Amino acid sequence: MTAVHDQDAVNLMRTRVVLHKDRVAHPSSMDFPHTFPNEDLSWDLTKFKENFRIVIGFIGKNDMEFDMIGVDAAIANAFRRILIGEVPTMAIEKVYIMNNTSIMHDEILAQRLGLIPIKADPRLFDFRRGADDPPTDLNTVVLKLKIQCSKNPNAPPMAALPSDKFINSSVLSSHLQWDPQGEQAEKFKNDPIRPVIDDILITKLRPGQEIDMELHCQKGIGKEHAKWSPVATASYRLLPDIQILEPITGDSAYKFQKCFPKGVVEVEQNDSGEPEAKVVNPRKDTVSREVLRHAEFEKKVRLTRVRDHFIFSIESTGILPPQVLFVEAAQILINKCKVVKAALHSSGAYFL
Amino acid sequence: MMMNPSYDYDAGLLSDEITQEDCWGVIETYFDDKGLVRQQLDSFDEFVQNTIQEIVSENGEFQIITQGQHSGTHSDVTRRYSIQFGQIYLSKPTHSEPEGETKQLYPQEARLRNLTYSAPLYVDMRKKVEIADPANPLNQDVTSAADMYWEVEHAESDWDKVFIGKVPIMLRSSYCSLTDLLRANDVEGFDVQSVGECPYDQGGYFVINGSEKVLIAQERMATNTVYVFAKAQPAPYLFSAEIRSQPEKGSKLASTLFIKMLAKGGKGTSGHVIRTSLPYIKSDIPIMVVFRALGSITDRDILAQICYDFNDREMLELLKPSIEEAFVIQDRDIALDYIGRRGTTIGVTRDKRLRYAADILQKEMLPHVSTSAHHQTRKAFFFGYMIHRLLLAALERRELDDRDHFGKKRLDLAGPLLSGLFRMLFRKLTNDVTRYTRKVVDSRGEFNLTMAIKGGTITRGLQYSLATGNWGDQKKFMQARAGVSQVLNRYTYASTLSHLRRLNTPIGRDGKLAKPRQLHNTHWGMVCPAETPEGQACGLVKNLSLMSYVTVGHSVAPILDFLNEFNMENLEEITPDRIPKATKVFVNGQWLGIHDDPDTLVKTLRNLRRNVDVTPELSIVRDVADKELRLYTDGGRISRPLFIVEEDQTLSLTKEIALKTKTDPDTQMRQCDWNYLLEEGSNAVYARNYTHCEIHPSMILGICASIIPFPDHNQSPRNTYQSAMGKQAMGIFLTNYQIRMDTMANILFYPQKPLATTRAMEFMHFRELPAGQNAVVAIAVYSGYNQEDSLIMSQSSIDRGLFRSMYYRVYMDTEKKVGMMASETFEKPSRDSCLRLKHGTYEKLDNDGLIAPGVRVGGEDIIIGKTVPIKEDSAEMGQRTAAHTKRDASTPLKSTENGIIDRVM
Repeated sequence: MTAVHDQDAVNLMRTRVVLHKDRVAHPSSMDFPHTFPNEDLSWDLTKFKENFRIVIGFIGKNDMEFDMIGVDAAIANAFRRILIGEVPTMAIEKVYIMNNTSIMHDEILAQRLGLIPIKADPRLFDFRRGADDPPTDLNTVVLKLKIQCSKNPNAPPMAALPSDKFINSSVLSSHLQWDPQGEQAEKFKNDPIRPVIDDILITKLRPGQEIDMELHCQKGIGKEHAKWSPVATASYRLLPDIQILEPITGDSAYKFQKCFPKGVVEVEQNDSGEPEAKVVNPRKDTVSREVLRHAEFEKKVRLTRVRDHFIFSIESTGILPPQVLFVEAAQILINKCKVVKAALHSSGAYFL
Repeated sequence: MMMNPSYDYDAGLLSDEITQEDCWGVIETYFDDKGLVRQQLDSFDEFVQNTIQEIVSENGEFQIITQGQHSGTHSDVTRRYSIQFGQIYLSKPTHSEPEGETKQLYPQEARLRNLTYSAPLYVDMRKKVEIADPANPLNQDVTSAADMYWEVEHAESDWDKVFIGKVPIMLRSSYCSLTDLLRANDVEGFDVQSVGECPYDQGGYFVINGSEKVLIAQERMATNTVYVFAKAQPAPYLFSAEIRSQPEKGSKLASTLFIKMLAKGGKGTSGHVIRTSLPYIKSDIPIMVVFRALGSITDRDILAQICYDFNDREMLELLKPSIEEAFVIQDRDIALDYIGRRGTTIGVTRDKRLRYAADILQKEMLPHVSTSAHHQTRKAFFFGYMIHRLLLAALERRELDDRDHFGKKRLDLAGPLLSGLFRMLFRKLTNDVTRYTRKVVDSRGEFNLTMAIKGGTITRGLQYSLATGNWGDQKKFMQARAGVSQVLNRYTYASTLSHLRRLNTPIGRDGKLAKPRQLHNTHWGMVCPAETPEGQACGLVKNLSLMSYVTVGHSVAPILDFLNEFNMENLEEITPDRIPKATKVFVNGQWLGIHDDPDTLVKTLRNLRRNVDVTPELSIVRDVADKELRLYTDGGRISRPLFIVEEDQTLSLTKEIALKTKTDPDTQMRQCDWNYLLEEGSNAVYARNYTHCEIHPSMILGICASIIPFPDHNQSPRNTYQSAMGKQAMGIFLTNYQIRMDTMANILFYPQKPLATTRAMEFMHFRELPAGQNAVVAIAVYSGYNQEDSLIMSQSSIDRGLFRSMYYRVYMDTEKKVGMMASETFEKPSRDSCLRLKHGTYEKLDNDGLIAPGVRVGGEDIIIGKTVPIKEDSAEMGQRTAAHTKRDASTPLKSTENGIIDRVM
């Protein structure tokens, strides 16, 4: 083995996660001091600024995808976890039941109501700190649900569907009525508080049954209960990098192509006029490792992922747009850092 | 793999071939028609509709004779009082309030008010008084009362309808109140829901004192079958032929008969002697003596009745020692005397002894053959047949019998179990009436039928056994079978269904014998191969397969008529030498005669059965190798449907009929034969032709195993484990759980239909009342850091409602009477007037002593406040002060539980 080869192997180890048939090689990062001799790997802001990039893939109404490049997995994961568990929203927390004659128990009803996303900008509200903190127009949104089911006098005689036979046979999220408190009516007149989605089925009623309750929404975080999570999910994956070590030509090129999802590998004519497989869009790959099952590709291909390239995806529940959520998450991370920094400082451990 | 085009799903729609889909159509019709607890319902209906009347008629009349005082006065005559029972009447289930009002009862009310869901039973009775005047010239020389001339003094011509007791009614049986509601379907507001019942509940159980009770089917050996066994040596005998004989009608216990081939020769004989046991006879009797006592005198006659064929040297040789042993007894009277001397009567005249022996032979020996006089030939033939079977086994021409063969097993369901109990109680009732009548008559009172009959005997007797599961008399519960009646399992819907189809084998659980626990070939299609508990009861407690059914029993009379018409030759009319060439005909184990053309006979019988000209429950077993045709009509056989295969090897079910399924289920069912317990011949003859065809192999499974997807891809104990665990699953056990008030109930917030389903789930309503949820599971380890037998769950799934459940518990209390006047009171106990208050809070109680619905409770909070008055003189260990008049007896919540009061009744 020559030194050049060694350097290649080390580079691979440092920048890529390599996927073998039966295992994943060196998944954890090694950009830390004392990993390699004669190399200072301590964190450096200018170096970081050089490497760090965010490339936005797309931003939809409720979801977005972007690439976060040049950052350690711990940081990417911190963003993900903060998005799921620490960005606050408003959700129904207290249910005051005046009357409930439906077949659904109060407990189940309350649990279901909590999960309904409420379109109220959480940044405009305060947390309610404990039971002693009185509810005010700054920390509580009041919704009312008062509904009765009755026979539909105008129902066609042969009606079979409950929705035809009865009025209000289904209680939907659209039946929730906002009851503005204090200055709320004025504050939210351009964006009234309401459920994000109108046709969430809460329960079903039959004639004579009724529900009458008052629902109090409070600000909270997903760590405490998933109903406060602003995202349906936030996730990331590493950018796949398929390395073809020896040209794959002829029939096996087509076979190679079939081992990947559509659009990952294309077969092109090479200089000698033979069909040859070329990787065109590794981003689409699911890294299923199908190629590794075929002995003929054993030495010809290496499946890897770029260790510091995160394809990040955020799906919002609709309360806040996804791009806002990420900024919120970043702000929360900054605040956390500030807290730690201050704590370290006051403890005397701060020596940088 | 190549797809065979004929397996293609849609191919069958065009061709005439019967596809798997058609088979499922047939199965669906079967379950639409019968449901899953048919065996329970039919068995109970048979009891209510026929057996009760039979038992009453069996003990239809009884008499009390009062002896005259021989005082010579004119009025001193012998009187005979007879009481006759006639028709019985069963009403709908009712309940009588203490105020006297009687109204129709529905099961839900019985459950909620801890009542018994039972219907009153009435019987027609009348009495007759006769006198025998000793002064009458006709009675001059008569000594015994029975022979006197009786004059009717007073006879009622009208029947009196008398209440004799209440019979618990099985839910959804023909006498159940719900059945009327079900019949009147489509009428709005007149359905089972309107009386608080869940439409998915399938009945098949009783409600006794508010709790639901199932009668577990009890497995037993069939009566009237000959078994030949070899005894493990060293033992006094080599082989034995056994039979437990029981006549079709009547309550007599089965009488057992053993024929033994002794290991050592008797005195002065060469080889193995054969002897038999006889009921009430203390020692074993040489078989030749029994034959002579039955009227077959000569050696030649006897040998003909045993081995039929005189060319069979080997068999005759085996009988030689027995002939030699009985050489001294050559005549009927001597034979009878020989038997009589060994009986229980001692010191009586020879005449009486002979009569005693003859009686035993007529009435006690092999009663299923006959118990009336002049049937000795028939009995001798059957006795001979048993010895024949014994010798065949001794000569190794026929294999020994298999005790565990499922064809020789019978199941006692609710019907037979209740009839045994009812018979015992009705006897007790008549005995009580006799005793009462005698007392009244002796004291010269006028007796009144309605007064004489105590309805409580039957009511209480039935209720006691159903409530406790001790099957038998309350006084001698040690002898009674325990666990016959069990509280219906309501964990989940499937566990309820499975419980209603369970069977138990009453064999000592600690018996180390493995054989009865093993899965037998003949269990195929009858009991589930997977569903059985582990441990003590493994293999003894079984579960019926989905399509199996238990017969209720039918009269043999129509079959006998048919056989006589169809050239069967009666045993009395034939000579034994014809037997080897002909086929022996047995009906319910009784050998009736022989037939020369069994092929046509079987064919005709099958056709009669398939056209329902004779009962479709008839089992026809043609044993070609042994030249026997065995027919069965008795109750308790397990049966299952199969397709008929015609002689040209095609299914008689045609595509046309299969497609018509939905519109006309009747025509279709006729194409599915009721094959009952095909007993395989001992040396199985491999038939070239098929006679029947399986409907679908998955029907061999029971309720719980049918929920397992792809059970054929699992290791077999895994299916058994799942079958046991499926019963503990949580889901929604019935739709009316909110109004049922079960002592404990678990309901899942979001039960889900399984993603991997089986076809059988459809019939078990597993998709309507599911148990469990579909979880996304990751087995997330590559190497190292393994977790074993544990799991990590996503907090957010739990937050969003995964595996959330409700738990209900019922707390119940009553105000009992204390002494004569005082009574316990529901109230809010106060510390100044009440002793021994509990440490939980009483603050949540209302003034009536009850908590209000909707109150959150926890810890040891008091939810029912109750006080007991203290006796004036008791000091209560010095704690009592003048103000204390009561002691606390409130009900606290379980210390570990908390929740919300949902309902107060």
